[in-house]
Amino acid sequence: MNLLWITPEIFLSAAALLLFAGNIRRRRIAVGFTMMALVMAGILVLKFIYENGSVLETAAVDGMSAFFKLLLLAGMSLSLGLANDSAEMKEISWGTFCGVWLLSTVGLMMLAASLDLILVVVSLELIGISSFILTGFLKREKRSMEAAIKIFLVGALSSALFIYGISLVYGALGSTSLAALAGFSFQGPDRLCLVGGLLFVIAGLGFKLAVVPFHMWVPDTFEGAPTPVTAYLSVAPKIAALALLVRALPFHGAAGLSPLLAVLAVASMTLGNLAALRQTSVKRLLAYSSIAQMGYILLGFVAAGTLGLSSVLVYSAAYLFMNLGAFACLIAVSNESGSDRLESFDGLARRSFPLALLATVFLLSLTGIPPMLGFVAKFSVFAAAISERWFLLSVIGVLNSVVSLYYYFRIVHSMFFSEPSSSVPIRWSWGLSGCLVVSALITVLAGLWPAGLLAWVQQVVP
Amino acid sequence: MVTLYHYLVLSALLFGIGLYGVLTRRNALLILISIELLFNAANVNFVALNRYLYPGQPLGQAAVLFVIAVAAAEAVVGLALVLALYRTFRTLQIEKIDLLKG
Repeated sequence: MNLLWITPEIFLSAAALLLFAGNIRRRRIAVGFTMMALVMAGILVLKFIYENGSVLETAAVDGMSAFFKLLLLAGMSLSLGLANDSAEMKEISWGTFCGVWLLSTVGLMMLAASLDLILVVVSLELIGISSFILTGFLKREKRSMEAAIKIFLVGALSSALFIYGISLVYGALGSTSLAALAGFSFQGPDRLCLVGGLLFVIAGLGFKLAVVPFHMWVPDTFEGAPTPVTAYLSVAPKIAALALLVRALPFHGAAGLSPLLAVLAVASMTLGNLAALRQTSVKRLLAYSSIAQMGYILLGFVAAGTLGLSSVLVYSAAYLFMNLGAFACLIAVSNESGSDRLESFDGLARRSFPLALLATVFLLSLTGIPPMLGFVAKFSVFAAAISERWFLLSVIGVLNSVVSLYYYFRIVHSMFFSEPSSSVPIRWSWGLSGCLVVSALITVLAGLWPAGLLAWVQQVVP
Repeated sequence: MVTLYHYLVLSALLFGIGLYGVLTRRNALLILISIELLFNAANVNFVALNRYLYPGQPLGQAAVLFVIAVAAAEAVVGLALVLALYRTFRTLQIEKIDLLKG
């Protein structure tokens, strides 16, 4: 045990409190300070990357938690860059925004490291409450308020279900630690109580992951929230919840749940993709595409085992960067046109060729076409599913990728082959271009040379 | 004689009433109240299971303290949102709040 191991989280919380106390209104100061805090926390996480243990048997400090923490910190700082440059976020109190942003980062990092269900509850709530606030941050805009009340009602319901499930799990186990859950044999009279509790827990997490049938809040919330917050909502809470699942689903325990997860995966992929086909708003399209992407990731959990879980890690990394990149392109376009309709992408190649090129990279990666990182991720997920003999499931997954090609390429088509509606060139400022360049570099380079990422993942997977 | 099962049935009833309220009520405030019932159902479970199955162990009671704190935080943010919602939309009926459609 070593309390020093949670210095990154303590540091971020202190920075958040400073931001609240300082009541800073200037964007430059608040965002600069927050960026520095995130980078510092990243350095602190790197410092403990080779440690292996836990703080009070509650928060793990090991290779996997370091992997997810670094991923989440990267995601949070890239999407903060988007918030900095978004035209929607002008008249807001930046100190409060950044403080809530940092607190949510703490929640994400704790969730990715938690070994105890009570810590899971607290960190899920920290993430949940800060995402309600961030979604409703533009409180004069009706869209933002509507999105906030929708995510709030669903989020509160999901955490209530989750906590009720945990109370049943506690009754069956007499303990709230994930290790006790992993050691349970699923036999005897307590089985019913435990399985019932786990079903509630899965339902509660399903809302956070936004898999079908727990997805109905996603399109409305994603469309109404400020776009940088949508970018955050579409990656960070999902990746932290995936980290928790990787830790909580032990190999033998997962075997019993695989058919259930397979049903969720197929439903998410198919419904997400089919609903995305007829969207005219790119923001809403990306919302449905994120539902479908979660379906692909669930395939890794269905396969379980080292191969399956490491494919989940690879997919999380790929999804984070390609999805944030796609949102960065959307923000760059809608900053000029003031709309997130598909038509605002018309003729983008003639207005700003580099932006159209980067958008194509991210969309290719989301479809899963080589040589992008998205291909490596999809390949490893399908390979894991096939190696565990889930043939039909992999076929459905591949067919779904083909369907997704249609709507991703509708955007590419309108960028390169439609007449532009205006000839104003598109400006990029540093936050946007930072996010675009970093995401694109990682998507392309890690896609061309995936060996480094794969080796890292192999090393940290339990 | 009150046994563990009485408490579990009580908590299941609370849970059922809360879930029914969340699914059928149309007023944001009443949905919020129903969600509080769900949290309290979990609390009854924790305390009763702790007392009858694992006496002497502090874990269940500690969990209740965490859940109460968490529910309070959520209620604070929820009420603030409901207030802001009323100011912008002049209604709390959630079916009337439907700008976003696809």
